[in-house]
Amino acid sequence: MPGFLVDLTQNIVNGIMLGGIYALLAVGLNIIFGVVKVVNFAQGEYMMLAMYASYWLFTLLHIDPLLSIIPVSIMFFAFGWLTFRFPVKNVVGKGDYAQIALTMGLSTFFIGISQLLWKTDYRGIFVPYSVWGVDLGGVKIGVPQLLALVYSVVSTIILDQFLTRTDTGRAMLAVAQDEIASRIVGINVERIYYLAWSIGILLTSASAGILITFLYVHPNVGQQFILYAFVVIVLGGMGSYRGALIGSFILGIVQSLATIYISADLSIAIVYTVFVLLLLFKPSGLFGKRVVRA
Amino acid sequence: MELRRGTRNIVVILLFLAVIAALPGFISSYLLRILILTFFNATIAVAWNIISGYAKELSLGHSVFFGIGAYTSAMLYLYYGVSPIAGLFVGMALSALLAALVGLLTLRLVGTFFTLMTLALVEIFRVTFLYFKDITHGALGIIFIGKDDPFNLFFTSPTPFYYLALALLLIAVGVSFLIERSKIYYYLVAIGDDLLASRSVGINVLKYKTYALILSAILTAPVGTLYSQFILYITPDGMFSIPYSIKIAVMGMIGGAGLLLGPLVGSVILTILELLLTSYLSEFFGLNLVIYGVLLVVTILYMPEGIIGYLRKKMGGKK
Repeated sequence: MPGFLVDLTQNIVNGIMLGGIYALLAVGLNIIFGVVKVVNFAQGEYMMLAMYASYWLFTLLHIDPLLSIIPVSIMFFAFGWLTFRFPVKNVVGKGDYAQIALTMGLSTFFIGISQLLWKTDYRGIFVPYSVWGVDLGGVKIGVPQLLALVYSVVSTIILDQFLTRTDTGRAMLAVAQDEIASRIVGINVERIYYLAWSIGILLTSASAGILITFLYVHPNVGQQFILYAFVVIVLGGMGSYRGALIGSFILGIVQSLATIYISADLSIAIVYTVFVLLLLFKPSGLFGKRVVRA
Repeated sequence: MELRRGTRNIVVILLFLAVIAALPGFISSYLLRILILTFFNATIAVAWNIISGYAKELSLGHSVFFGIGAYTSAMLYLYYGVSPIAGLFVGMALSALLAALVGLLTLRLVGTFFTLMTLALVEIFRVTFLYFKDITHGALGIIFIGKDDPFNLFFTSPTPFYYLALALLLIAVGVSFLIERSKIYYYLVAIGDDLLASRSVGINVLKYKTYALILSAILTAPVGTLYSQFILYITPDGMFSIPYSIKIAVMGMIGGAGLLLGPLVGSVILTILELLLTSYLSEFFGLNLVIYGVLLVVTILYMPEGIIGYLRKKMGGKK
């Protein structure tokens, strides 16, 4: 392959890897938005706390980060459930304003707590496979990044199967479509809300064990990604978990190419320009429902 | 009876203003500087309230208008020697223009698009201002050097800034006061309460929300100019800041969004709180965020109309 093609491929691959990370947040965000109708501004902070959990499980108990995925998943499913019970449940159906303010409050609270406990130090884990990589004809792929990508694709497929094949999953889709009709046919909507919220938190948090092997954790790590995840869910369509996955890859590739061919410093601005263009021409995104206009 | 109560209120307000106006003669310059910053915060919170309180469109990016005000006057002075007094008005005009664009783009959509857009805007401006180093001095920021020069808004004493900041705050409060007595206010509240109903009675939702955003931006921008002349140093990270924008929203919400007194009370409470935390509990880094978070959650759950709204309800007064 000629050199520039290798470079181009490498950048697209890097973009897909980056997209894999965005997807970890975006898929969770969208299942929550789709079913519970809450935009969770604290989603990134659940990821941040889960990364700390993996970090401490490794540092104190020497549990390999990839193994810690199991305890961390269980912990954060439960943590999601508890935080839904209080305070999130109280703003379900209360309108955007209260929901954003409340989840923003949660996010601020979590960031504050982690600053109090662990300062703003950047903490990371070094395991042998942190630096493993594969070389495909000049295109290099890091193993941890590849794992994150595989995780986000596989977890979306499992989610898809769960939603379309199981009774609970179908009930969840029903609630997402029409809450009142779901109540009439006897679905326990309350339970579905609990479940959707906790699954959304689980999907994002379970990846922490992979992320911690190549990303430093610090109290603002969630903030770093959440804004991209918001762009992703608008791009993919608010509420569409498949859209979130595809949107993540598109955004990752756009950002990666913009970094190389325009400027690394401007890449964030370019990502947001994509967002502005979307709002202008296609606010419903790629797979979203029609957006209500004022 | 009504008249007497009205006259009494006016007397109380005038007395209060007289005390505030006389303060610089009695307090230390440290305290004066804190009051100036409180006035700045309060002005932005009152401006924020117009779009996010009355019209219930939550902005988490008001520092964008603040930053535009600061950078417009700073760069006009730096490159063309234009007095920051003129720069202040140019900043207002540019902020209004941006607000109009953002409003027309996002306020036509129902949902969180507006809020997400305000967050994105802050980042777009921050990154762009960091990038064009040749013009904006990038992360190093712009440092102001000037001797006492009233025509270019340079004062070595904080006292003139005190009165200027107070004037801006009074203008913002006055504008809000007038809005609350105009039909636009009722349109905005109706839109915030029930979009479909207000549209079906023929209110042009997009128009009035965009007006509210423009007005809010116009009142926010001059604070940026004054702030930069006061602090004498601005950076993209400091001016276009999401945490600062969120703080403004928190002030408005815990005080009581949609009520004129709400953002005033909220900004005073938060400024005092921050001061206490930084002077007595600075070793507990992060405690301020914990408290903001708790305040926000508690406000939304137990007193959605903020402290002022809660007190009014308790005392059985009318809204």
